[in-house]
Amino acid sequence: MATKQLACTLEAGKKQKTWFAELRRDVFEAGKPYAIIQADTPHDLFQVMGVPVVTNQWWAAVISAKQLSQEYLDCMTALGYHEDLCRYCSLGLASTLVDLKERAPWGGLPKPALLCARLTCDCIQRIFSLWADAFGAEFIALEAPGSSLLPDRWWELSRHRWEELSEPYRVDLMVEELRKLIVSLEKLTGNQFDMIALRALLERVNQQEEYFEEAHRMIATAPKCPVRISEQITNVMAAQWHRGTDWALEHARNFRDEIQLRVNEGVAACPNEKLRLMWVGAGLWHNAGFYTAFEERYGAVFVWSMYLAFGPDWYIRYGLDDPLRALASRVVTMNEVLHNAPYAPEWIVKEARFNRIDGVVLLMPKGSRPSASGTLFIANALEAEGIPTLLVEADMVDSRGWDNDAAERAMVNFIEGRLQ
Amino acid sequence: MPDNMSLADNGSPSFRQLHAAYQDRYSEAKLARQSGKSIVGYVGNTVPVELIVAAGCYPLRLAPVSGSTATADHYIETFADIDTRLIVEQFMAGELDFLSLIIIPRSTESYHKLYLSLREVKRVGAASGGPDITLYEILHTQQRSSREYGLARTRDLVQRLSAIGAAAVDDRSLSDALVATNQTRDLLRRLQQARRSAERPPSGYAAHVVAVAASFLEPRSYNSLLANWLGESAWKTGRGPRLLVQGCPLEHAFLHHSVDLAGGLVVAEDGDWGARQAAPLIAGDGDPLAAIFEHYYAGVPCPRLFPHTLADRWFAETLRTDGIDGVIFYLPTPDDIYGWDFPNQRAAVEAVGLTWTLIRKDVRYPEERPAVATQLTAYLAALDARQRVQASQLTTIS
Repeated sequence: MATKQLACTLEAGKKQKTWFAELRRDVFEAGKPYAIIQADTPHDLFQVMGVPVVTNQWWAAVISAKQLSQEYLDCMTALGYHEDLCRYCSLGLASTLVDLKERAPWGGLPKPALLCARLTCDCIQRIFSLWADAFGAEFIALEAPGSSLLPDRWWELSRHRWEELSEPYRVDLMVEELRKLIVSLEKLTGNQFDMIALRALLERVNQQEEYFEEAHRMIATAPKCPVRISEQITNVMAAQWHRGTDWALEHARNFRDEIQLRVNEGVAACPNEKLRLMWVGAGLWHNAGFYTAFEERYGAVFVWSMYLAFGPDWYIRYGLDDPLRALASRVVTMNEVLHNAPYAPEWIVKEARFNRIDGVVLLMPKGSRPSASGTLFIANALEAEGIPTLLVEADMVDSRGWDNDAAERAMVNFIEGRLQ
Repeated sequence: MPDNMSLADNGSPSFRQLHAAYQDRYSEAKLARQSGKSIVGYVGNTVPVELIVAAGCYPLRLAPVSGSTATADHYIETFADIDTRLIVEQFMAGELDFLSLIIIPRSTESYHKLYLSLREVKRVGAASGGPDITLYEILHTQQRSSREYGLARTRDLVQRLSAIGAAAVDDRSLSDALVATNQTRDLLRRLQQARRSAERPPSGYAAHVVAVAASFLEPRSYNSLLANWLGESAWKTGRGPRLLVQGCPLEHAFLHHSVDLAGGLVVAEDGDWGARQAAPLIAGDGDPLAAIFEHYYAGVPCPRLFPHTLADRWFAETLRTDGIDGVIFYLPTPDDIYGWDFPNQRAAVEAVGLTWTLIRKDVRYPEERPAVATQLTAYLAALDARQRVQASQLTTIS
């Protein structure tokens, strides 16, 4: 794997490890409550109520990066969970059902006070019910109503016209669900919910995403990419999981400043950059080295992943007179814009243009069908714009089906056949 | 739909008509369209057909089993559920143009993706024309906000159907529709009694064919045919160990036929086709729309019904009834939903002293049937041996 080039990246990695160790200590020694929640749930409410959270997808990425997914998933198969079941959302469950003792990543997850998920895919209510049962903890389910509106160019509506984008009746439902979640968090902590504190937090989230927007613009417009996507992801997501906190705000600003410095000094992540690549889909958590494997030979640099670009376009909500409603509008449409047509294809094409992309590598994880469905619409939209696109069938966390030689051959053929 | 199976029946005219509707699922609706009737297509089992009937329209469930997906494969991933791929193919080919509307419920993620896909192929110009498509936002979490949300969306659907149908949807037309659909449920309950009877149960194949056909005929026409068939009792008698099927929806009868051939008898299935179509009657008094909504919101099997204990209840209760000798878990690729329930359901089966077999091949494909036949034969032989041992133990004890 390539050496980390940004001081921020080391800081982000250190923060996550320190934070998790503190969480375990607080839970085990002080008996404090924490929650396991999905990435698309309102972390902001937990933050305001003082309940630390472990994000399921982040934990899955940690397990995968530690090369433990194969062992956990093989054990799940032995327990009777067949191999076509979704892996990204269930790897955390596996880490609870299967006891690897001292080999558990970072000591393993302590018992949470509650779990929370939006019922997006049909498997989510099953995975989280099983997980809650295994822990003997409460599971709070949030609905995931579908959109009938599906307007063009959603990113032009999301910051100011979010009520219109999210459909008022869906926002009404989500507000009611958030109120119920607040009641549960109040019972759990004994703290009273403070709407003013939520507004202040969302304002800081907006500010944090504005820093990311500046970073995103610099990466897109600099002559050569100043920061690899693996480091973009590490920095952005560490801040997103703690979004709105003082640390997250400072980290986002430092990240922006460090990129600014590199751009000003003409520092490129890969001085040999000749081709700009876009990675569409979740991170390839079990093999981050893949992202840099084509730099030396071809000057092919992955410059874009959704994690940085998505922050400003989706998290920012201006007009916080009713902060709960603004938060609800963000929550209710989260997955739609990332995966579903027409939102995802339009947005990816817009981003490809802005980032001067030469070629796109599009992850198609068969082991996580809901994430994978819609990828052909994205591929078709990119190709229609004249942007060559390579579909890679692989799972983001399950290394068992990953054939590195075959994937590299496909990339070589793609670069030599369509990009050079 | 290609289906060269024997009719498993002694030539009853009613069965032939039901079998024809089962095989050629759009034929009766197309005839009705030629007579000027509006046809409303829908997917899944949570769209209130009573609303469609009350609007004077023909309700037609879209549930293709086989066919080409060559065009759809350019837009829909090949690992998507086959029924959604087939529906997109038909939509793009103009084969659904005889429909006035397609209603897609938010009752599975697969159907939600189908809704988005149909919209998108239209938007990008890959399909020209085609019927209007509407997302019916029925949610299934059992809490007040979800119930109120779903009821409001159901009222929206009433407005939509009233605009395209021959009649306004009101309490009276809904009550009339309920008479017909409740009669269907009652007849399906009688069918289910026949399947569980010790005397002359119909073969699993015949029973499932006539149950599935309910979704492709107008309720009153279907009721007449099913009543005749039940009255005639002309079916070939099913034999062998009595099996309960759990797992993926069975919109076809290939598994039942394989079980018949292997010497077993499927007498019930969990899911939205078959035994559970004989759901409780919908109360006709009070507010019919609210009663109809409640039925589809909480009373029918649905993978998004939550909490999950509600969804599991029917299976747990059925396991404890007399007359079930074993369980077939049917979880063919690309299932990524029902498999999550398998370990707990397997434990429930074993807890009541029954055995099970897990099938992961898709019997809709002819090339996968020999392996399934081999597995079923072995399972039924083991079941038969086990029953003989148990019978001898009982004899010894007595």
